[in-house]
Amino acid sequence: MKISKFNNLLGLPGVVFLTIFFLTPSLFIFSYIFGTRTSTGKTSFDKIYFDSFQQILDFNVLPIISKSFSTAVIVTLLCLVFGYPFAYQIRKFSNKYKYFSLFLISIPFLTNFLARTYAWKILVSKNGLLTRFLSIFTDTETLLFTDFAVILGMVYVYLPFMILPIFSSLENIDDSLLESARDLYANPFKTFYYVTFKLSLPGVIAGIVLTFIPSLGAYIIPQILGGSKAMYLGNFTVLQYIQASNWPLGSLVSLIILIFMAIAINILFKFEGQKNL
Amino acid sequence: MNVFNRKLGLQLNYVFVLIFIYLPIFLMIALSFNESKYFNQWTGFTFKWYQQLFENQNLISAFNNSVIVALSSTILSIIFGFGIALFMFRVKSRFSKTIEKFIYVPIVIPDVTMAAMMLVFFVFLSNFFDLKLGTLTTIISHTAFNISFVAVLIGSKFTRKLKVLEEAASDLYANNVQVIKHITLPFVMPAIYASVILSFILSFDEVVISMFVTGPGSTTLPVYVFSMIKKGITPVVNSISSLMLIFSLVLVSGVLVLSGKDELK
Repeated sequence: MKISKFNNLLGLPGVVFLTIFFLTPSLFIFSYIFGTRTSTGKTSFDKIYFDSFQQILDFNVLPIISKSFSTAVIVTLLCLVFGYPFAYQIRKFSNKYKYFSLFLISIPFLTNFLARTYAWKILVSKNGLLTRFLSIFTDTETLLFTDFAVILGMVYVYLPFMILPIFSSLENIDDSLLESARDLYANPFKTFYYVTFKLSLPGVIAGIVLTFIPSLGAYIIPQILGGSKAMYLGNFTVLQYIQASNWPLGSLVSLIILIFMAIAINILFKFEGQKNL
Repeated sequence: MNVFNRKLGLQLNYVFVLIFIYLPIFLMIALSFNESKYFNQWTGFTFKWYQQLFENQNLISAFNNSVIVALSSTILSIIFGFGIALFMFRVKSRFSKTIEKFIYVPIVIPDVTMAAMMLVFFVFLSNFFDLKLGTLTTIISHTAFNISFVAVLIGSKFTRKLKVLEEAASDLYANNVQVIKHITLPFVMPAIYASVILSFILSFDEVVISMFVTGPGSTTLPVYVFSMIKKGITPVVNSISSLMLIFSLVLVSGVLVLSGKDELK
């Protein structure tokens, strides 16, 4: 009895902190949706307003949503196309190369995100290495401030988020399963599809969610590589809060990002649940 | 496709991805030692851009702010996060199950959304308390997302083996404090060290949330560097970005070595 009381108290300080400084703020942002921006930039709550919903149409937010969404889809697909074979190759290495490769791919996973985005900016700017290379084939002067640069930058930054979960699910596949598939005369393609790929699906789904969510809400990468005119959901939200002081609209757009996130995570948990069956 | 081509394709992709990831980083670090102001010509090796960094007072005070914020939020989130992890491990109730799910939200929430909600909340609080946007609000915001990372990382080390050890100690009449001190803490110590480094890095590198909740004079280093980056490519930005990258690289290698050691046990 005494011990269980003590155990319950252990989590209390942290839970109280998160309730005050995470849960409450998230409820606050919902209530702001029903306010309206006054001429001074302050938000008024004297009655329930639906201005922010109207402004979604007035300020052409829908094209921004579809652009962010399609960018996130392209980025996720590119990460999958290059990340899956990469994870597959690490899985095949002997232990020495395997751990070294994992080390190499974990480093960008956690090192300074801002510096890496900047490093990419040098490559795509005027006279940058990539720009000069591509100018052999086309007549581009600079790639900076194009959608192409934003997509490549996102793939660059989020690729490790795709590789690591895929690798960990590939690593869990028992070699004897592959051998038995071969013994039963499955050709390499069938072995790959029915055994390897199907068993690595949880990692693929986790990787997709981990690259899709940050690409959808990205702010820093579009700002540095797309320029201040490029509008994505993340930039648009920041603009509403910092420059336009239109907090109700900013809150509604944040909510839209959150809804996408919740859907993505639900899909993830569904697959996780299936795996445990 | 025959076997040879498939193998070659995989290896080419492997090399290509590694070049893709590391070429920009090495290029940036090399350019930070370039004598020339222009990044498309190499005129010689120099340390002068790094010297300029240490003469920039704004940059130094931003660095100091970042260290204060990162240290404070690390200490707070280790205390809170460890408590939550232990609670989720020992108590199996409907409440702890809810916490187990909820704890992932601060990890996956987009930074822009979290930044907005912290700003809205602090501005509301400032109507009632003498609270200005500054170092304190930044520490609170960073702690709010770091707790989850710490709880999940330490939580992953709470295994059945530890449960058996704790029960054995209790059977031998060790009290709560003794069990934690002599059994639980030593068992999860590598994870605690790793969480210390991880939450320090996450706080030290954070940009968007800090941008929203810092006030004038309490700007953190990444926020300051971000405003420099937006202006353009300069040798000084090359050198500060290289330094930040190398700094987190050293810390990350620490985490990897610590967690690697743990795997070997």
